[in-house]
Amino acid sequence: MTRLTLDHLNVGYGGADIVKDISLSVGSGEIVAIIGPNGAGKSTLLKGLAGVARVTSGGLEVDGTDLVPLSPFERAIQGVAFMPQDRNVFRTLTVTENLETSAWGHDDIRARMDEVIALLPTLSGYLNKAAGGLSGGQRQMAALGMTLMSRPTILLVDEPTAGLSPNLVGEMLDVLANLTRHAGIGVLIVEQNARAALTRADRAVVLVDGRLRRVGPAAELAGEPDFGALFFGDHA
Amino acid sequence: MQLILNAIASAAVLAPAAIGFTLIFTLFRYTNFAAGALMTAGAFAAWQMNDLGLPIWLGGICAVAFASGLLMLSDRVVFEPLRGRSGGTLLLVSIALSVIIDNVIRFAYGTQIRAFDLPLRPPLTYAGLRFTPETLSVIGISVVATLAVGALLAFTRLGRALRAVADNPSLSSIRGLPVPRIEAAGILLAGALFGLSGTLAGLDLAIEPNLSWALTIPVIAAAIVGGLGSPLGAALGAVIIGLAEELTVAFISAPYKGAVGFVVIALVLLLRPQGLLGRAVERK
Ligand SMILES: Nc1ncnc2c1ncn2[C@@H]1O[C@H](COP(=O)(O)OP(=O)(O)OP(=O)(O)O)[C@@H](O)[C@H]1O
Ligand SMILES: [Mg+2]
Repeated sequence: MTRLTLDHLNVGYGGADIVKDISLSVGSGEIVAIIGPNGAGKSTLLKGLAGVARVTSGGLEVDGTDLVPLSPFERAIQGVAFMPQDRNVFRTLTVTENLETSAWGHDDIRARMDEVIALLPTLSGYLNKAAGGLSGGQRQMAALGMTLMSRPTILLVDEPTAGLSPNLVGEMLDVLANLTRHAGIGVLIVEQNARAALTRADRAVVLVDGRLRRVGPAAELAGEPDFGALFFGDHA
Repeated sequence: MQLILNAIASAAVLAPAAIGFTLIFTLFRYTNFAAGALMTAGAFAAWQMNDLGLPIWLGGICAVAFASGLLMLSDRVVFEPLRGRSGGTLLLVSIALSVIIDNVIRFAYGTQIRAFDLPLRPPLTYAGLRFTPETLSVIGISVVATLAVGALLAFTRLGRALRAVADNPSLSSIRGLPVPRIEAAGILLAGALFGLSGTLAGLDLAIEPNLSWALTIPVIAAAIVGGLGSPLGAALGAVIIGLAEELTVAFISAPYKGAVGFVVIALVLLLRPQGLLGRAVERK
């Protein structure tokens, strides 16, 4: 079942479009990885989906609902959870407070917290620390936990493994993969750890200069001999 | 000792407003120079109700509601359309707002000095300290209000949300927080605190339109000394300003009292821009 549909989507910040002509769909229980060089527009694409950057033309739907006219808040209510690449936690709040605040409007916060901590058990080691004082990896864990507090149907995650130790990279991606399959959510993930992401993703897209360079099954892309070139955007 | 009691009494008047000012500053990143005018409007609202025959505590509640509504109204009319403008622009706008409120009060009530209609009771003495029953009420109410707002911010869902929005409004919307509603709650709360401080000022001082100027700078100074972060910081800032004012009156000269706030603001900005308790305020 298709959850998220992008139809010839263009996204920008008010000037020229940064991301151009993206058509893509993400199904229920599916992980789609976005890879590409720095500055390709990966974050801009996710921001456009979350409503933080402006969709200048094209269609964007979640479960049949047109997202384009909706604010970031309204998109969140529609089940879209976006984990930004940076400034993704409330630094002056504790980790517990960050999680609680991310389930505003729900009265089963305790149950959701337990659920998220069960998924990301390392969180329990620093629940009472101010998020501003966390290490990079701890912060990413907290930020991912916050996105899960809303029990999203669409998860947009921007480099969640940045700053994580190598063993935690695999762990976090596995958590995402399991969650995706079991809860039937659709995941769009931007990853620098391309190989690690491709082993968990169903499909992958390569974004270069704001355009989709390649779309295909993750395993197929990972196996291509010129994978490195694709990833780094060389015009080889 | 008498000096310390007097300082605590002035601090008690300033503290709720300093907390309100801090709340507005952390949510919207601007210096609301209309703090004193809102307090004065509150004082006059309380006086008006008192004059109409309501007991002073009811007058105080009316003042809290009135100042809260007035700050909300001024936000909708002037500040909301300018959201995202620089702090300097909003400061100027708030100075203009302050002048408008002051003049409306002057127009309506003249420059005559007024006081609440309170039963005349002799000052109490205890351990060599002289104080009126009103002083005790002012201190008690202020302490309770400070602790209540502190608890609200620390322990309630709304308090957490207010801190989250103050920390990062964009992330707040992304995480599904109804930011405009939470901001509105913050504005109402800040306005209520201005109204409360205004009523306390009316109990402690004389009620006249010039009150506005006498209050604005100390309130802002207290908030800045307190680090523009926590309510307890703002309350502590109020105590420090109160002390500095009383020391000035005792050892320099009463007319210089009004300069204390300016001097303290200048000193803090020079020596410790993050305030006494605060962390560096992030510029946006
Ligand atoms: N807020 C903004 N306003 C204007 N331009 C922006 C903004 N954010 C990013 N850009 C521009 O958009 C382009 C794409 O940036 P984006 O952050 O989307 O790249 P990215 O693929 O996520 O890179 P990275 O791998 O470094 O995270 C860049 O040229 C950048 O300068
Ligand atoms: Mg990026």
